[in-house]
Amino acid sequence: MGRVIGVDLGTTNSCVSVVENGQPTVIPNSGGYKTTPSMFGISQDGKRLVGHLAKRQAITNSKNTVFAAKRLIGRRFDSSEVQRSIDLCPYEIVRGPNEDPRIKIGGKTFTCPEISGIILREMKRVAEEYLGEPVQDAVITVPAYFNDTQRQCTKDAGKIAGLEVLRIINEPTAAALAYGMARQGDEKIAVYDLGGGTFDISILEMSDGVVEVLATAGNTFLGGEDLDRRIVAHLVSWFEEAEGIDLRSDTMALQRLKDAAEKAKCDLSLREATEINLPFIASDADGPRHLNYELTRDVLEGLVHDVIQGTLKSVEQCVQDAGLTPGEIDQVVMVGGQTRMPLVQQAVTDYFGKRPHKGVNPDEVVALGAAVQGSALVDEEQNVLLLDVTPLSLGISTYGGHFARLIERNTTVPVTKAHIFTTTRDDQSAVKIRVLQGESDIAAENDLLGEFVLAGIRPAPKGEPEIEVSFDIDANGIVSVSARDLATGKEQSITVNSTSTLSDDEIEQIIEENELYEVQLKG
Amino acid sequence: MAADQGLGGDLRRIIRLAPQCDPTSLALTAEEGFLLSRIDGATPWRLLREIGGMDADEADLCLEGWLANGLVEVAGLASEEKRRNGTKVRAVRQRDVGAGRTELDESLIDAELDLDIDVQRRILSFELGLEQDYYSLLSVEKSAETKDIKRAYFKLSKEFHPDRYFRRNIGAYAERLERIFKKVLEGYEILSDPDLRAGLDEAEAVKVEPQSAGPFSSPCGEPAGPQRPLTKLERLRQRMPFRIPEKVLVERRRQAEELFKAAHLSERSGQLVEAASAVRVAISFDSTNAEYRRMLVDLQARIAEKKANELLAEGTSYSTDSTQLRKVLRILEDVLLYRPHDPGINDRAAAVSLMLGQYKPALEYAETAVEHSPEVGKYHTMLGLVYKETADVGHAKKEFERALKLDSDDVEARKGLASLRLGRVSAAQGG
Repeated sequence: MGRVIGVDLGTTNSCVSVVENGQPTVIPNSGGYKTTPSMFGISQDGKRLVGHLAKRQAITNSKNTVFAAKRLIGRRFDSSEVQRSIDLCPYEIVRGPNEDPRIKIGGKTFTCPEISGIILREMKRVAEEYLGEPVQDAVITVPAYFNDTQRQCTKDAGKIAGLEVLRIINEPTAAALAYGMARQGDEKIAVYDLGGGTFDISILEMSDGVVEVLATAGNTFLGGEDLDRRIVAHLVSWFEEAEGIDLRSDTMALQRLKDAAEKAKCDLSLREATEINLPFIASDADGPRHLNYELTRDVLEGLVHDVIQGTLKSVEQCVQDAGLTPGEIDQVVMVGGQTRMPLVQQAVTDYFGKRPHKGVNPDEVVALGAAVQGSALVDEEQNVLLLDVTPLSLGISTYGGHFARLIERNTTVPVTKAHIFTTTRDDQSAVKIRVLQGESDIAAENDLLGEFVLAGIRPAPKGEPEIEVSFDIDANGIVSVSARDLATGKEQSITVNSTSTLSDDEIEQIIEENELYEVQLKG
Repeated sequence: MAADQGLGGDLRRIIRLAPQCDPTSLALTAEEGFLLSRIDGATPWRLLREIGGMDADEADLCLEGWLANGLVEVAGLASEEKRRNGTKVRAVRQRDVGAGRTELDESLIDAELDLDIDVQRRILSFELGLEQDYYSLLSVEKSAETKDIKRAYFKLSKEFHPDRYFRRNIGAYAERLERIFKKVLEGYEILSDPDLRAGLDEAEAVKVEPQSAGPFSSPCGEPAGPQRPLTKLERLRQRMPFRIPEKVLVERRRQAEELFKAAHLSERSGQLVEAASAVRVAISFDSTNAEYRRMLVDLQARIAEKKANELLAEGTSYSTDSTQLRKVLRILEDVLLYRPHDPGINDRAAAVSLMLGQYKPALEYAETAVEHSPEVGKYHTMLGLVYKETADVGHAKKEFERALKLDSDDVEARKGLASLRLGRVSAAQGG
């Protein structure tokens, strides 16, 4: 039996882990680091660089270095998130043939699953080197708020990396698994996950190895990088005031500022003040200029206070959804490097009335949990069961453009739910079933997953026919929908294929290309 | 038979609760409670040892003790499964699943699978009890608190969640696990939601009235009776509805009340179809109101009666047009929803099904007719004709002969017998 790796495919850093002798362990990369930057670049001489190597060239070659591709994966080019990234990123983002964002570096265009796939391949390689055996199976984590397309694209990334993705699980859920696998008794825990690019909060209940998700909430566009951006913006306007030079259009300066901001932010988690020193950041007729600024924790907290408070809104919503009060939470688990920030710790402590759990490493706990789930699936000895849930509500569009939810988000799977619908016109002979996913009460605002027509309804006054619409999600998360006329027994159904931004052919082609590239490398 | 002897008795003994026994008054451990909940007056001792959640010896001791102090009594001996022929057994099996059959089908156990035989047995026996009420399904008391229900759900999840057997070669057990888990989940969701649970308990209370049998067949495994349509309808209503804002609900309830009033008016003026239609819409606005459902059930029964009477008045000359036949069959099915045992209608349904080439339902209908009026010759003839069509010559012959015994003038039966002989001759020639 091959071992299953757990991969935390992060916005900024990725981490891989495996269960050894019943215990999940993080696998260090060849440089000895337990996390690897989720970065991919093409060097000036055309070499492909992943991880730390890519990060190293980010400053000098920022146009050809991709970071935070996770923010783009599975989104539409026209979405506000992608448009925002286009404004922020030094690398070029172009419109793909499937209306998906693609990344153009080193004269070549990459799809987002391809970039994630290259990073996953690197994680796979790290694991294989450490284990001394080939690795095939993986559990990969995604933010709880990832929709179906984003999940499917992440799966495709796994395929491109040569991995069989056994499951995609939510990051906070993974953290809870890692925290809870060794614990006895009943506990309700909150997982506060402030990562580089996303914020997730989940409330879970666990009892003797069974983990149940009670509620999740979050924000897909809020994370540590927002704090970095606040610092960069602060530095840019300070520099403009002090030196009269606007750095906003200088990509190399911005990249240096970003790195410095991130570092300063981390420093300030440990001390009260830190120096930001960036020599030769700009130059004008008077010669070179240097940026030299002392950032204090107070100033930083003033800059980002509202962002942190913003997370608490989601927390409150989540606690309410779980039907609990903050005091009923037994333990708070912090995930993501950003949670090391004293301001975050304080905000969480104030809200829950207890200090967060100290026993887990926020950078590693998600990958550890992914490995735990992998081993729970394939290893009979592992006494852990995750009662996983569906991330978004599923339903159909009804008369007047309303969205009728049949399966609410956070419903445990596998599950079948049915409801009876009827016709809206006299002698209506057919109904169109439009299968949607999303949280809006307005059908048009949700994602269309598929549609079909149930015809041959017996002529009857409106409101009389009984049409049973049934949603089924199987253990592997595959959704099928059927509609049945209870009077005639006539039935129509579809299996909802997860929509990826890539077709199977495209994936095959990418895999082939990558293999070619691997051969070239070795040769 | 040594193999059939337990600690001190025959393992084929079927145990049932003594009538005067009130299980809620007993101080039982959780394990004993579980074993007790498996006693349904149909499961033999041998099976109770396997599905009772205890070691065989413990279960023996427990059962013997209860037998000794009069808590349970012997209801009879389990007999060998009656098998006549393949078709028959299959038809019976399908019917019995819905009726809460409690005998475990050993032929489903497959030693080739990557699944312990004991686990297979446990899955099969648990599946047999899937149609029990949710309390029995989760093995919790009616008064159980939410945390007990959750504990029971977690425990069963650990046993039956499909992920426990991920990627293993477990054949058809994968589907069984999924079915079981979904049902357990459904029970947990309903019982852990105070509103839904209250609605369920209310529906249970209503169940005493014969016409409005709910979806929850008795926990003691007696056949729930062939009130399929009601069960189905009620069960669908009971499944978790999607959430609707409170103010919308209030408005819907108001509309439902108005529709209900309108329905009463229609009913009084004899417009049953219109009345039923209004009640249906009322139910779609407010599915929690038991009064609406009772009225709908009553109306549907009356409409079906009326239709049936009209149909019976039309006589037996059906057109051979298959669309027309299908329509007739549909109406007959509707009638059967309300009068499932009526031999005349079952006989007609058998005839029409046979004309449409639907042998399986034809067999069921013909059997039902014979079962409920074995003294009527023509029903035997119909059953014979169905057997003949399915090439079951032996049974066909038997039924035709029975028909002729009851009514020697039955031309159809005579013709049938003759054609059987002819068939044998031509088969012999062909061979």
